[in-house]
Amino acid sequence: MAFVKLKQGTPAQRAYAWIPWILVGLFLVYPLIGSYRSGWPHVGSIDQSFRISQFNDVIAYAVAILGLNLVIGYSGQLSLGHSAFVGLGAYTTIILVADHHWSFFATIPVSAGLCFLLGLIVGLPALRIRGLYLAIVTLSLAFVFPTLVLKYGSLTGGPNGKKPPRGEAKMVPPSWMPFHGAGRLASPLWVYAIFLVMATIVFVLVRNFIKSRPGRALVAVRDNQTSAAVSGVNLPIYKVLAFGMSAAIGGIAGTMLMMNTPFASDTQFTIQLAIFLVVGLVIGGAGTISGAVPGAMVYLFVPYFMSAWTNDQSGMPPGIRQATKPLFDWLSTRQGKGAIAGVFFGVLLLIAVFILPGGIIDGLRRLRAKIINVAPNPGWLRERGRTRGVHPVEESVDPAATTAGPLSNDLTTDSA
Amino acid sequence: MTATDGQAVHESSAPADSLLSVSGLRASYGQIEALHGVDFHVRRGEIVVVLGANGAGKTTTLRAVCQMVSTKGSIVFDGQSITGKSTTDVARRGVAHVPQGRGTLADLSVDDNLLAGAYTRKDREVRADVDKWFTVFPRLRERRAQLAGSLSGGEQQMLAVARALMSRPKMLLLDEPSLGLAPIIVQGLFQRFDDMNKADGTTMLIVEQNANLALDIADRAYVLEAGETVLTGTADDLRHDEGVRKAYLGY
Amino acid sequence: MSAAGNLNEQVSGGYSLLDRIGKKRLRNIAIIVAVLVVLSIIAIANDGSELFFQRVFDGLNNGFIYSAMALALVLIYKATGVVNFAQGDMAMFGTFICYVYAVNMGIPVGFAILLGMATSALGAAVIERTLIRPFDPRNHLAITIVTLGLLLVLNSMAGVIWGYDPRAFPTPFPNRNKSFHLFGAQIDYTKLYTWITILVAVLLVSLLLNKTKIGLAFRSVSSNLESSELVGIHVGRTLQFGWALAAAVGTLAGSLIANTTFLDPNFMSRVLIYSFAAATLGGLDSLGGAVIAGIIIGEVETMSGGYIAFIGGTLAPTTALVVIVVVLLIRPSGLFGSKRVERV
Repeated sequence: MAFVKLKQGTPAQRAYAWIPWILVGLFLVYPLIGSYRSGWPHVGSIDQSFRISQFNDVIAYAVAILGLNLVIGYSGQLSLGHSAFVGLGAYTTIILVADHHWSFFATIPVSAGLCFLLGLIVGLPALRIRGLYLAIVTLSLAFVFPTLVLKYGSLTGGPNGKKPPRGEAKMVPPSWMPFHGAGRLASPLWVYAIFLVMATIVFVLVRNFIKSRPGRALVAVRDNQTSAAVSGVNLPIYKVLAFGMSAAIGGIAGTMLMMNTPFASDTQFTIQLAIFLVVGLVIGGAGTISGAVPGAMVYLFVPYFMSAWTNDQSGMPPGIRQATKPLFDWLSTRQGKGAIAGVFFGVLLLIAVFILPGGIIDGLRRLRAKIINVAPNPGWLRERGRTRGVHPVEESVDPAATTAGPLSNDLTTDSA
Repeated sequence: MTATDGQAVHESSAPADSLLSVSGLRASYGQIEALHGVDFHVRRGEIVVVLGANGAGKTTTLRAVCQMVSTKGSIVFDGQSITGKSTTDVARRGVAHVPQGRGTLADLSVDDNLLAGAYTRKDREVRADVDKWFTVFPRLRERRAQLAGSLSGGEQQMLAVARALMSRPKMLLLDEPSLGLAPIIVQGLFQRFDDMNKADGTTMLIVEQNANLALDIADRAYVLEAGETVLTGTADDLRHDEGVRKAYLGY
Repeated sequence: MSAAGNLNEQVSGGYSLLDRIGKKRLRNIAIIVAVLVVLSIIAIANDGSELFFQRVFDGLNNGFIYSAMALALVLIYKATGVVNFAQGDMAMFGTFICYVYAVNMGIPVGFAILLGMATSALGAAVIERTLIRPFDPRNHLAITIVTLGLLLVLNSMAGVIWGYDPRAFPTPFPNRNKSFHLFGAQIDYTKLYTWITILVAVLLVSLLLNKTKIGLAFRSVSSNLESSELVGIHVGRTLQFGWALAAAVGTLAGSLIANTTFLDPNFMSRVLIYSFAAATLGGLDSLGGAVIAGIIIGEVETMSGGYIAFIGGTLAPTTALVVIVVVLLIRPSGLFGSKRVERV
């Protein structure tokens, strides 16, 4: 079935494991080097600074989805309130920057801390109980957040939103960055560079948590509810902590959004965002670290292209344009045509849950496994396990050996 | 059928008047196979008992008949194969299963439990049957409006049996009816089983750890060990079998 | 309230209402009632009895609607263990369908609503068969995510088809603009008929569940799925019935509230949050609890909004959230739910 078979632990397989990361790394770093040099390939066909800014948003949303993944993908509980945490982080940052002239970086710990606290408060009652109570509480939270923003308009700018005074709070790259002189591209590229670093840090932190003992206990409980009592870790505490962490990460994502576009309003952080983030998570791949990235890309680019195409189909690939012409013709007569993105998201979500529950990442992994098959090597795993504290799997006891046989079976009996 | 030394006993063919005949039955929970090719049959009007230690596969056998676990092999009930059918379908064909732990509908009243048992019936005698079972089990009549979950263990067992019989089944499956019950209650219960069988000819397949009482009322029995039948015969024969006596009868 | 004490009462077999509720719980309820009476007296003394009763009756308006939606939520939760997050949007879509029948097709409003209820029931039955049944019933997370997808599709489709401009929804009741007075408060006839309609609907649902065969099947499946299969109940069809019933109730609630607010794709979202609060307060698996809690939430919303200036209208959703959190902290099974909530 597979074209290439690799054995786990061999140099070939280990090189192979690193290749995707190296490729992705190169791909990600490219814009910082080449997008502004004449003659080098450009990023996207239109205004590059806009594209880079979009990518920045994708990174911020990927961080948000990663936070959400901690709760849904790894703890197995549904949280519908992530928009409130992202919003809280965003508003914390923008208020501190605009009104009190803080630097963006200084607001990161504050927004993370506030969101962590809010996550603890919300998570504590709901996570003690099995079931969908967390979903209900967080849904209400997501609903309440915009109303609170509007209520305290003097602080938040109300329906008009909040932004720093003109000319202030600009993200300008230092002179030793290669793209310092790249004109309009300089600022978004600087933000991009910062975001890459921030996102990498968050991803590494989350990955380490997942691999740690409490992290693995969470996953075990997610997969098998009855094992809750068996694991020696204090589960409710870790669930609440995980939820607090996910909230803090959401807050950081909100801060990042402000760093990219320093403007916050109540319509940005609604239930719709919370649900869309869940959609992005499921489509990207719940329960996987890297799933946050395709999820965020889907979240950002699907509505973008849908709204672009709804108004003007010339940018579509020819075959698809023919096929969807009736849909767009009908849509153009409708006043609410912008909502078609929501329909598309909903359908995508349903398709994902039915056909690809593991999301895009899972689909890619399976595809990759068809081409290159990695054969497990328990000996190598055991070696690694000894140095890392992972316990190797015991060989199962032969079942025949455990049955007692008290019957003598000497008698003949009449046929039944 | 001859019993052999620690080896599985297989039946080459079941008698033609069998209500239930099972051959080569394998059942798995996910990846783990719990039954490794079990044969048995139950004739109309018989009481057949399945004995065995914990983990031998007795409960799995009953669940397999009702298609509650994934099964391979042949299960023929009343002349028709039921492998691959849904549990609901099997129930509708006249198999009434009293599961381990009673499975009472705890949020419903005693009365409603009985009516639920008669769910598949379309005749007008349901009420009369309810009264009949209240006569057989007077304690249930006393508590008819009570929530089933608030009944004692023995009462719930009676309720579960009555509920199963409300459907006027062709065959009754009983999974460890004595579990968790006081000995005197269990004695009364088994006496009722015997009476039902003699009076109405109800065919029964009973899985039990309490071999004494079970063998008292049974016609034939099978002994299950680690997912295979290792012994079978008439109830009398098994009563006197040395191994059975030592392992299951305590003397 | 010790769990052991309650268990004892249950096991001893008492089945009168008093025993069912439990002596301790009755004492708690009595305390709460006493507190409410005292608060009411203070309110009347400060602002007069007319305002008090006005607010009481205003609270009933929303309260009954929350009851109906909470009932729909609990119906599905009881039977399937799944919270149907799409309930509000199903109700909204159903109300739009009633609108199409009544306004676009000229059918008399009362019939239009009944027809719309039937249409939503049919739609929900199809949804259950195609989107819900393929899943292992124990996989609550996946099914709940499916309801999220449904929410998105329905909400956005409504936006695409009908746009976001608010529309007026006609009332099926006579005496449209007339009102009468009770205890000095003014009550519109429309509101009175709305309450009566919902009460009748709740009664009908109760009869349906307790006196019919399909209702027995529904209660059986809600109690023990495996045993229900063993007595030959078609679980899938029974759940389908539950979904259809919940959808019909939701559409009814939506139609009744649409003529007091305006009809647009988002008009049920506020109601949904309060209905969640009501369902949680009442106990997610208690149908009667949902109805009673809906009224309580409606009263809390109006009374706290009216009497506590700080809360006003804009903080009312926050109050609902606080109610949910407090209930979960103190008594996760709600006022009337069974104690089977499992602690992790």
